[in-house]
Amino acid sequence: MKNATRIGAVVTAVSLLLGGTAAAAVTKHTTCYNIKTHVKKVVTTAKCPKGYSRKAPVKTERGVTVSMAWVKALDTAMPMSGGFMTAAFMHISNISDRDVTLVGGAAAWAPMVQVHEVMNGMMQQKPGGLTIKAGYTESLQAGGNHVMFMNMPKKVLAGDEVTFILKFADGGQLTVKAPVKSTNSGSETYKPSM
Amino acid sequence: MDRRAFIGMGLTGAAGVAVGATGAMAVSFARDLSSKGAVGATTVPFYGQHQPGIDTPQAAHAALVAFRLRESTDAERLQRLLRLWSGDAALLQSGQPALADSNPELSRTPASLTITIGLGRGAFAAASLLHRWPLAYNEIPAFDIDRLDPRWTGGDLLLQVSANDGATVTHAVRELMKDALPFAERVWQQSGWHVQPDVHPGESPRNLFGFKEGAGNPVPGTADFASAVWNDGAAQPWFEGGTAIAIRRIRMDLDRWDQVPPLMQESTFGRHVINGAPLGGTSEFQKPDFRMRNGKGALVIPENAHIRRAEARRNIFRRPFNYDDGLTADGLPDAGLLFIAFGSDIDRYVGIQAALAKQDALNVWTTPVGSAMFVIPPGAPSEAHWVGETLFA
Repeated sequence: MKNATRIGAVVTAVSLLLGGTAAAAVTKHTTCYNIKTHVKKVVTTAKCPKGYSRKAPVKTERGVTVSMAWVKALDTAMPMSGGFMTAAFMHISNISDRDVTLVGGAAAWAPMVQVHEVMNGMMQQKPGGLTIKAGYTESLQAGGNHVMFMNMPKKVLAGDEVTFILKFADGGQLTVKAPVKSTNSGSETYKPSM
Repeated sequence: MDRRAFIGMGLTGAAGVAVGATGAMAVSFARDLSSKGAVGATTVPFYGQHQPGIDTPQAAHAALVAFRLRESTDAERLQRLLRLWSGDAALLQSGQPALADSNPELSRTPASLTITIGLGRGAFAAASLLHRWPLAYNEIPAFDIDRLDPRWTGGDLLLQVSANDGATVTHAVRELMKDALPFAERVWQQSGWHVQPDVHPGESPRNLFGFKEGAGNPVPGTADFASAVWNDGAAQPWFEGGTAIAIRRIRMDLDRWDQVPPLMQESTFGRHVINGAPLGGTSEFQKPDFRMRNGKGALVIPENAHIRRAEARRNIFRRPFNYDDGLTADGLPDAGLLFIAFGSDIDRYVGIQAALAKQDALNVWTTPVGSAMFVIPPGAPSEAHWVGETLFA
């Protein structure tokens, strides 16, 4: 199953001008933004290079929403050298007109936060981050992409509510509040003392 | 929050913006394409002054699930469980998957799902909150007629899960059970059914003895109902808007009942079997005339008739389900009534049950084999709240 869900199917055609064509020649420097990553680039030409737009990007946090976020509980976790680890799962919807890329995060309770993928059954940092195309929703779910929290001094416990920040390539940030949940699926023999 | 509706709003934000080479944007509502009838799509709000599953319409399928708290579960942990349960109950009742739902497709048919959360005496003890126990009894007293099996008796926490689709009930129980695992283990579970919507509109359903069940119940939304069911918080302010639930698994001896002549069945209940009218009356909904005598001077509704012994029943709200679990270990029908009563305190139910235990003619064919009672906290008024919050405040 593909994790990305197209938000829309009905086309609303919007004919638009590219910003650069109307610019006057008096401008010595033009501020351009990468259409995909929103990274700023100053050029000495009047026109922005291919793949860039003069239009200042809408900051990611205004075009992205997070829903159904939860963090995996560590009630049964054993202490580990280097601290505890857990992961967050959620739906990230990009309702803006540009692709956005989730590149990392931050949390007061976890010194290290990374965007991870599962490749061939192995968990690893996702190279280049996770891109969510304009108009799509990405589902971060167990066994697939997730936000990884590492080097945690304390466990997070089922029923807690935690806060963390998602960081995007354009510098945008989103604060997410999420409950902590156990996922010991159906294991009635579960023993918290283990 | 309805995620799908929110995504749809992105359309306005998308228009009028330079989009480079792509030139056009495609945005609309994502839809759940599975077909659902009106019964399947109906939802009952989770948030409100009272918990759902009490004054809301009774659905066709129900599960009662009792949990025992793990020794490590204290006040702080119990609150965490109640927050998780409330959050997932709200999602599931609205037809959305629970968080980390293992079968999200099963959550998209709410079918009037209701989830009612109860706290037993043991939960108050674990939370060191026995001083906030709001009921007149700590447990339902033992009655001579009881033959209680621990399989269906007691418990520290209760979930009453009900919907018009059995799969919805089973799935919701599983999701909520997973929430509970770090805090509590399941000790018993009972399933029952009620008449499906639109089978007998405007009539009380029949129990497995063939008689109508539910006459004389206070009507939800009326002042009678409110005073019978909702606690006013006078003794325990945290409990205002809450109620108590009594659960009795009453095995019915269908084999021997079949041998009883119809007229004797009627005098046992005190009602006519054909239309549920009290003996001597013509309509199910009319008040029984307990003083009426026949030509020979005998009471038309006998002294030990069920409805005479249960006369005070207007002070509680009965919301039972039938059950049929096949055969007992002895090879007898394991069928009967999951009797459920709600009351602003448990003493009202206990008083009625004491009168029945003493003299009810029906006792010959019915045996209580399970018994439990729980405090039903008031509802969570909004998403910012959770069931049980006022107890810990």
